Parts: sequence; structure tokens; C-alpha cells
Amino acid sequence: MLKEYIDAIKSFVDTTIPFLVIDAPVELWYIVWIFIFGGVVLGGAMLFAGLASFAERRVAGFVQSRLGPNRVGPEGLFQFVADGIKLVMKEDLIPSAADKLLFRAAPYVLFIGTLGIFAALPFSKSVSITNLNLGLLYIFAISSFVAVGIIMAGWASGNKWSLLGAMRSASQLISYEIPIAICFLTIVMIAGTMNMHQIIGQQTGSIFSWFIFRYPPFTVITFIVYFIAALAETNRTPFDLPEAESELVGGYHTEYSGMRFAFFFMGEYANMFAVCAIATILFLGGWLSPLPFFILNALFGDYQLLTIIEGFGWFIAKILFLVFVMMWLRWTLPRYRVDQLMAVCWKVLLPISLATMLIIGIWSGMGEWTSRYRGYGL
Amino acid sequence: MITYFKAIVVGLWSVLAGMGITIRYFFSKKVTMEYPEKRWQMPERFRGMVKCDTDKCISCLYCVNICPVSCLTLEGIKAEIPSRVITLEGKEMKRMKDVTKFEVDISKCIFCGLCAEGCPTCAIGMSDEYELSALSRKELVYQYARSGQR
Repeated sequence: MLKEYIDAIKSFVDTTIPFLVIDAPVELWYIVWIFIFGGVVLGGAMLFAGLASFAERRVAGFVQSRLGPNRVGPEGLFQFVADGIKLVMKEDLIPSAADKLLFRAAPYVLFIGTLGIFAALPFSKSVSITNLNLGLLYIFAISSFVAVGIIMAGWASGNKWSLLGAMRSASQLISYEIPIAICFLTIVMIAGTMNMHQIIGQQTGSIFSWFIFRYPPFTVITFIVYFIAALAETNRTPFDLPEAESELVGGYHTEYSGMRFAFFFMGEYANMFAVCAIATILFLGGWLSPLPFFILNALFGDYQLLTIIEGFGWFIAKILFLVFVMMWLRWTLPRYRVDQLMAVCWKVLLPISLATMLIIGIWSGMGEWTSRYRGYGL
Repeated sequence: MITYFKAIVVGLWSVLAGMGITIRYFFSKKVTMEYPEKRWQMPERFRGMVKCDTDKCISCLYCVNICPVSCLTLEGIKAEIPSRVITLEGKEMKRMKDVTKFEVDISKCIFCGLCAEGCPTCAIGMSDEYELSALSRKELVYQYARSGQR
């Protein structure tokens, strides 16, 4: 039955697309596709940001023995719509002391940084917006836009709290990028490629061929280091010094209101998604099933489309689990002091990540060496 | 060197212990009472809104006299057909008067319960009703008369 469906879709596509494409120049379709993909990614990121902000409040409530928002829609699921409408209707204030242009530009710069990451993420088997050879490097590079956006916002606000938050953020983001880079390097060393699809392809097999279980326990340590550094990169508790409400009012977004604030807010949650997606791809096998087979394929036959759908499901499920862990941590831990924050990065994460990289490098090199010379009596 | 690794292990372990505590609370029973749908079960001796059963009232004016803030107004006329009521002690007695006006001004009432304590026929009592807000002062005066019962 499913085969008939798929055949029907195939014949529909085969008959309809040529009629649509007829006479239109290829460049036009290229631009249309860009807009379609951009819209899908932007919509998906915004939807995730909204749902994550709702989930965050529910998790906070549950951890504190409360219920959290459960009035708008079923179990409060549409709370983010109400919040969004409220933010849209708010007055758009720009302080008189602000640098107007930078103040306006900052949210977009931050949002570009987070949304740019989505362009290189493999969402499922051979599904990604671009298949970059240097995907990991691109992600690492474009995520630095976040720091630029935050510093712009803090500086342009013309407010001491904002500036302090931005300075803290700058030091924090720049410091924590180093352990992240070393974790990336470790994975690149194991996989031998920076292409995201190929990194996932290297983890095919059972759950034990995922990179997190590749060189136990060192890749697990790398994963933990990456996760902690990623928490700091997304400005989340216990590393939320840039926006520390009790010290800096709101940090870099103190002066923002309405839709501009919403952009910061969504940027933060979209960044959470992106960071967890990278952790999933690098360590937890991306869209690969934890079982040795794909459930839908086992049930309905060996269709590529089913693999793609189920792969997407696994990818999102793994990400949502990591996002939940992030929220769980947020409502467990208090905030670090500035000096503790720096100490954690430079005295703990950096040496440990360097050591694991060294050990994994030697281990993988040894493995290669022994396998290469096994035939020569070694 | 040993203290360095020990500190890391202890730190991670403390994070995990904290996460264990929060996840236990995550799955525990929630204390929130979703108020308009669910209500507290009031204790037996809770003193809420004053309520009066005017069919039992014998217009003895005990409550009006004992009320420390004078929030009660009671008027009665001689009944055409005397009915029978049961007193506090369990005896039957003749009820000679009908109540024409019984008002409780909730804005004055201090919910002391003195009126209910001494009522000879248990006509007046403290209910468990606690939602007493109103939009005007006039609405705060509750009337329990035979003509316009609330």
C-alpha cells in the first residue's frame, strides 16, 4: 500500500514539475529555492525557539513543584503565540543615549550568527541546505557572529549594565570557543573530514560506533567538555553572566523591548538548538538510529524516503533530549562568579580537552599503524 | 595534581547530585492548586460568610445585639400562623415571628462567629464560602429575607 503511495507521489512529481519549470530560467528557480529553504529554516527555528521558551517555563515549573503556564491552548502549548503577540504589540523604544544604527543592527547580527549554523546542519540522510566540505569550520566561524551581535548590543545601548554584560559576554564567548575548537578538532581527527554528512557516515553501525563510544572513556570526556563549553557559548545558566538578572538587570538586552528583544530571545533558543544539533552530529550519530536498523524500514520496506523521515525523527529526538538536559541544568545550578567562570575554562576544560585530544590522537594513530602493518608480522 | 582531579570529580559529582534532586522534584506531585476549577476543602470550623436560615429564625435579636461591629440588621413581624422550630437544646418551641428583613453587611463583618455561637435555633451560621468580593458597596450587603433570598 505504501509502495502505491510512493509511486503516486513519484508520478505526480514527474508529471507536474516539468510544467512548472517550463520556460523559467534556472537562476530564477535557484533563487526561489533559496527563499523556500530560508523560509523553512527561519520558520522552523522560530517555532523551535517559541516551543523551547514554553518548554523552559514548564520545566522550571515542574522542577519547582509548580505547574508552569498551562492556560493557552492544550497544556499551554500556545503560550509562545500569546507571548509573541504581546512582544509585537509593545512599543519599540530606542534610548536617546543609544547609537541608533548599531542598536538597530545588533539583533539581526546575532540572529544571522545562529541561523547561519542551520545552513550546514544535516537534518537527515542527505538532507541539508548546503553540503559544505568544511561544514564544521563554517559552523565554528559563523557562530562567532553571536559574540559580535552581543557586543554591538551592549555598546550601542549606552547603558553601563549593557556594556558590562557585553564585556563579560565577549570574554566568556572568546574563552570558551577554545575548548570547543579543540573538541571539534578531536572529532575531525577521528573522522578525517569536516563534512557533516561524512562525519555522520563514519558513525554508521550500531550505537557503539557513535563517536561518543569510539575511544572510551576519552570521547565521553570530550563530549562533556563540549557540552559544558556549549552551555557557556549559549549564555545559559550556570554561565549566564552576560545577562545575570540579579546583577546586571538584563545585561546586553536591558534596553531592548518589543520585537528587538524577541529577536535576542529567539536567537538564544535557536542557538541552543544549533549547539545541541552539533553535539548530536559529532558525538551521538546525528540522524542515525540507535538501533542497528531503521524501524520504518524494517516495517514497510527499504525506501529511501522512510529512512529520511525516521532519521529526521531521531535527529530531533536526540536534540530535544540534550535541550532538556540544558534546561534541567539551568534549574539546578546557581550562577558562576566571573573568576570561577574563567578558571573553569582555562584551568579545567582547556587542559582536559588538550589531553584527551592527545590521547585520542595517539590511540587512533596506533590503531591505524597496527592495522597497516598487521600483514607484516606485527 | 591529585587535588586537581579530585576537585573536578567532586565538582561533577555534586552537579549530578543536584540534578538528581531536581529530577526527583520534576516527577513529584505538584503543589499548585488550579483555583477556579479546583478549590481548597475548608476546615470544619472555618468561619466564612454569615448565612441565615430565615425559616428557623425567631427574631430574638440575640445576634444583632452581640455583634461587635453591628453588621447585622433584623426585622420581624408577628407570624400569622406560628410554626415550630427545634432549639439548641433539642426542644421544640413555637415560632411566633416571621423575618421580614435580615441583612449582613460583609464590609463591616469581622467573621468572629459570636452571632452563630449563641443563636437559640441555629438559624445563623458561618458557612465555608470565602469568595466575598463585589463590585460595589451595595453588593456587599447580603439579604436573607423571605421575599428576596440570595
